[in-house]
Amino acid sequence: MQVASPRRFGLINWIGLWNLYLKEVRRFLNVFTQTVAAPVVTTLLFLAIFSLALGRAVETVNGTAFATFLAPGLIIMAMAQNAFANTSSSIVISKIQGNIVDVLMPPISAGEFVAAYVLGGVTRGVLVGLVTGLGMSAFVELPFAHPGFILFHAVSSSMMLALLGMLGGIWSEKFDHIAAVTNFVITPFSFLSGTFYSISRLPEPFYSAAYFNPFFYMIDGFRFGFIGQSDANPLLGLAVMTGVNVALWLVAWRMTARGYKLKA
Amino acid sequence: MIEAPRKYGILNQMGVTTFIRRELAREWRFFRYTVFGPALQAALFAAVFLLAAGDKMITFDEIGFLEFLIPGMMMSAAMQKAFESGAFSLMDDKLSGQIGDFLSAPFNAFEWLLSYTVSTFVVSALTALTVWGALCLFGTVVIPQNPLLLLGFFAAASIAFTAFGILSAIISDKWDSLSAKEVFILAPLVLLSGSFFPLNALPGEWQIALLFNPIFYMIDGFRYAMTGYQDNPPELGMLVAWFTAIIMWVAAFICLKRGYRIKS
Repeated sequence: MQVASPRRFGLINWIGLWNLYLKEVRRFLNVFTQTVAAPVVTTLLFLAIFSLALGRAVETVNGTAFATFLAPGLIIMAMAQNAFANTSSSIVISKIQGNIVDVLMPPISAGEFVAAYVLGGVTRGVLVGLVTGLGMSAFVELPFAHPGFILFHAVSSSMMLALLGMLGGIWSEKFDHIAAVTNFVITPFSFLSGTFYSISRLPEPFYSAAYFNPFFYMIDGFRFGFIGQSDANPLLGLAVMTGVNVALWLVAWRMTARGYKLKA
Repeated sequence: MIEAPRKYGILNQMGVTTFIRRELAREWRFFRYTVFGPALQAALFAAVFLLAAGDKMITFDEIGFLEFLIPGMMMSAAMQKAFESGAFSLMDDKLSGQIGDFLSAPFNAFEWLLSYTVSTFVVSALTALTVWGALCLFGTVVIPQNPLLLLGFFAAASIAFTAFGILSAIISDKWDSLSAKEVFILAPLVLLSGSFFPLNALPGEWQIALLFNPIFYMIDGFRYAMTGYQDNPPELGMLVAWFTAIIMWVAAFICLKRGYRIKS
């Protein structure tokens, strides 16, 4: 009788990683209208409301037409919120339903676990951003001053929020907890960190505090990619986003490796 | 001894009060979201508007920017709440099968819809009140100029959106399709109907489109009752608002009475 030997893999379980990633992507594509189409429509509505309500009062921001200034901010905000929603909801639902064991049992290491979830979140963030951007380009003139910055910030911001979503999802024990984090942390930060205005409009101490807010660098850097103008030095933005992502990866990896609130 | 069946007149008052109490108890369980959700969102919007427009804030004729916004945000929050309160409840009852409990009770379609109408009126009025409270924190306290007119417009809006919610829940088979109606139909209708901008902020042809939108008359009338600012004569507004409310209510009543998609 022949017994099938266990599958072997090297340092990284590529098949496991790929399948967990596919599961994450299919999870949101399955409810495409809610996870992609809905945020796109909501973001376009925001563009309409804010340009109509503020268009006459704020014609330009530092020489850029208001709508052109606003559009990149709204795109990155949608990307951030959806990258966060993807990882956080996936983990909380799996924990509550109990099917998280299906991911904890197989030979998938903590690093592979984090990578698969985060890449799933990044995929949703980038997809939402892409569709929103396409939709907006029908109404707003969008220059592409520095495409490299657009790409870097699109990926690094989605990654940052996907990681935050993982941390939030692992920490939450109920839907209430993650809903509270979304409503009281993620939404205010993504609203008030420069999506709608240049931070030079902020009074002190909020102006100085903005320089310690990674959400600000995410929005500012992404917008710089489009309009070529920024509040902070764009190179500083690259450094901050890289640093924050590395730190968050380490925390997420450590939490998963220890099984914090994942393994009893 | 066998008890005789309970007798009641034209209206099963006990049924109606019980159902209203049940609906309100249901809302009370989620009061954190009911109360803080819309208030927080309104506060964020107000903060963003003020920060983005700042000293260049335009006044709409004789009233201030916030004064203009406050009634609009109260109404849009209340309309969404009126929709959600009835629709989510009916949807939940439909999918969980609880609906059989009151279809088999001596409780007719009129009593049923009346109960929804009363309970959602209470909930949406509370929502509008919390939004008002949150926006008062920004330093502009708007006191209604004509409370009677205010109530008239508010009731029409509340009734119309309750009926719209009930109709949506009736024709939706899944939560997905109900939330699609909320995102793709309700939100654009509510947010683009003059809650955030006056009629003359729109380009010409869109102004005409807005004049055919009954929700615009509800918001505009409510704003007139609160601040005295108007785009339309309030008499016309009241007529359009109640005409819409009655049509929607009768449509919902007919669907409930026939058991369309409810009784198989």
